[in-house]
Amino acid sequence: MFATKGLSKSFGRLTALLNVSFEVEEGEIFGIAGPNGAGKSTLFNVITGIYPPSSGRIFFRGKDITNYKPDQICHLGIARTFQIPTTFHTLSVYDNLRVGAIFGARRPQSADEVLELLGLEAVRHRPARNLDLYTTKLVMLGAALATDCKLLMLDEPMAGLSMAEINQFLEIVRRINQEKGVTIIIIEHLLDILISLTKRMLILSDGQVLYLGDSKEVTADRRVVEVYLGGKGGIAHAHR
Amino acid sequence: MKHVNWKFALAVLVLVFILLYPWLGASSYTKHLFILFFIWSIVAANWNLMMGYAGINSLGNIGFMAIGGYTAGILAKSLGVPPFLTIPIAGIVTSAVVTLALGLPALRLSGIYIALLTLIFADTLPSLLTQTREITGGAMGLHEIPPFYPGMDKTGAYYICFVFFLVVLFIIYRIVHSPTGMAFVALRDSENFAYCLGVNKFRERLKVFALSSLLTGAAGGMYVHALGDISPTTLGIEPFLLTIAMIELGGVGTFLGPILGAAVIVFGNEFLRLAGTLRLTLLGALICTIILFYPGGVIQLFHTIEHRVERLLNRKTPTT
Ligand SMILES: Nc1ncnc2c1ncn2[C@@H]1O[C@H](COP(=O)(O)OP(=O)(O)OP(=O)(O)O)[C@@H](O)[C@H]1O
Ligand SMILES: [Mg+2]
Repeated sequence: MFATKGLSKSFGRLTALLNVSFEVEEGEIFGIAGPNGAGKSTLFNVITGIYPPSSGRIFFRGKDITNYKPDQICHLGIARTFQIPTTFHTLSVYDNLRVGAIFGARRPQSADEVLELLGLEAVRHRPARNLDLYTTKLVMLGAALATDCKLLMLDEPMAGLSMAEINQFLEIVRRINQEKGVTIIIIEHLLDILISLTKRMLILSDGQVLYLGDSKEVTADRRVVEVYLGGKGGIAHAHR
Repeated sequence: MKHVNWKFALAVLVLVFILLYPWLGASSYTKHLFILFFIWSIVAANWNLMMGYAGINSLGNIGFMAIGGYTAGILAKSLGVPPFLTIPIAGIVTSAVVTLALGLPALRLSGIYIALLTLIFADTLPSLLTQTREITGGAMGLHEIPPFYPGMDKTGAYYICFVFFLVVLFIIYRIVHSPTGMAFVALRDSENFAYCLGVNKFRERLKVFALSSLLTGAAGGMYVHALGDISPTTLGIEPFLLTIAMIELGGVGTFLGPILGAAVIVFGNEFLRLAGTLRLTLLGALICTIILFYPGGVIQLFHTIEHRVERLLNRKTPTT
């Protein structure tokens, strides 16, 4: 349902992405990992139209969406969250969701559905600035979900959360995937989480594809072990 | 629910007072002050819509007012167009000019560059007025612009401006509480997040320019018919700074803030005329003091009082 072909992005002399091609199938949870600065967030930014790609093409449901603007991409059914927890801090929790519902889905009641799905009713009138990290992330996720997206892209959604919160969050991600049939692309540093959550994954290193394939076999890949896991499985875990 | 009633009662009380004021021994002079208050609070409220709600740092809104004022003034004086037409035309002309000549280019810029461009826009107007002296009166300005109706007195102008004030505030209230207002705030709080949630940032921001300049231009039209003249001094540094002060003093990004700020500045500024040349110094000191102790402006002072009152009420009648 989603694919990139030879996607590259340079910032001046820095090449953040080089010739990245991958495909995501309808209904799957697809993982992306890689060291700091590998270009994971840049990949999201290029896909969602924040930056135009330097070269390459992006396809969604058979349509070439390269160079679409972020709001157009949202209307086609792709929503995302940000690595830095982002909400509309002066708006209430409910109004945060309403932005996605009214402007993304053009269906106001989707805000109420998401409020219930994520169990945010108790804080619905609370200004978004007065929330703890976990709830802030839920609100950001909720706003994205309220756009009635078909593809949801999550950029390190679990960074900074406690183990208990991570498990709760994973539960929600699985439910969104299974109950609402939303396809998900998730960036996550912790490989074991990604292996248990996804069937297939992409590992980026220095803007290039290091690994693309079955999640179960990733730790057996010689290059992944060498470059990403640092031989002993150290680096990926040290990111926390 | 106590505090809602309390605030509502106060607002009604103030409005009833304003409604009855001309019969409560108002002098021609104090009526004049109220007219200034009605018009400047509308200019400030629209400026706040751009700066406070939408986060677009425009410095050109006095220019919007001047375009509206001159449009209405010239139409009425040279062509004899009646005021009930000149005011909407002033709004529409201002909106068209500002949206096309300022909004479109400004939206390609960001932050400080928008501020600079809007400032330059307003700054070129006085020299434009000198160039077109035959119709605009150049540095002398336009005088003896026809009033709202022949033989209008201060009380008539007072009520017409009061109605305009209420209508425009109602419109702004509706905008702020509509999806469009939510989009303005969302783009201000987090531009990229709003953009990725489907908010068309160019269209929404262009709407800010169009709406704010429409209502500010209409206020310019009200100004010339109520007061009879307009000149390039209307575009000077003093009205510019005073209007900015109204917004900052009242509370940026709040609905009532600019209105409270306009009240303090318009009435305070006149009151301080007693102090002669010290007027602006004292006004500056007043502004600094309020902002220093209540960075959120007068509206924050109100919230503090509200909190105290609530706590007092709660102590007297403990709940549960
Ligand atoms: N707007 C930008 N301008 C210039 N360089 C950028 C920009 N955005 C990202 N980069 C650079 O591109 C490279 C990739 O950054 P990116 O944020 O995509 O990495 P990442 O894989 O998400 O890393 P992390 O795990 O730390 O989030 C980095 O070297 C970064 O400095
Ligand atoms: Mg990143």
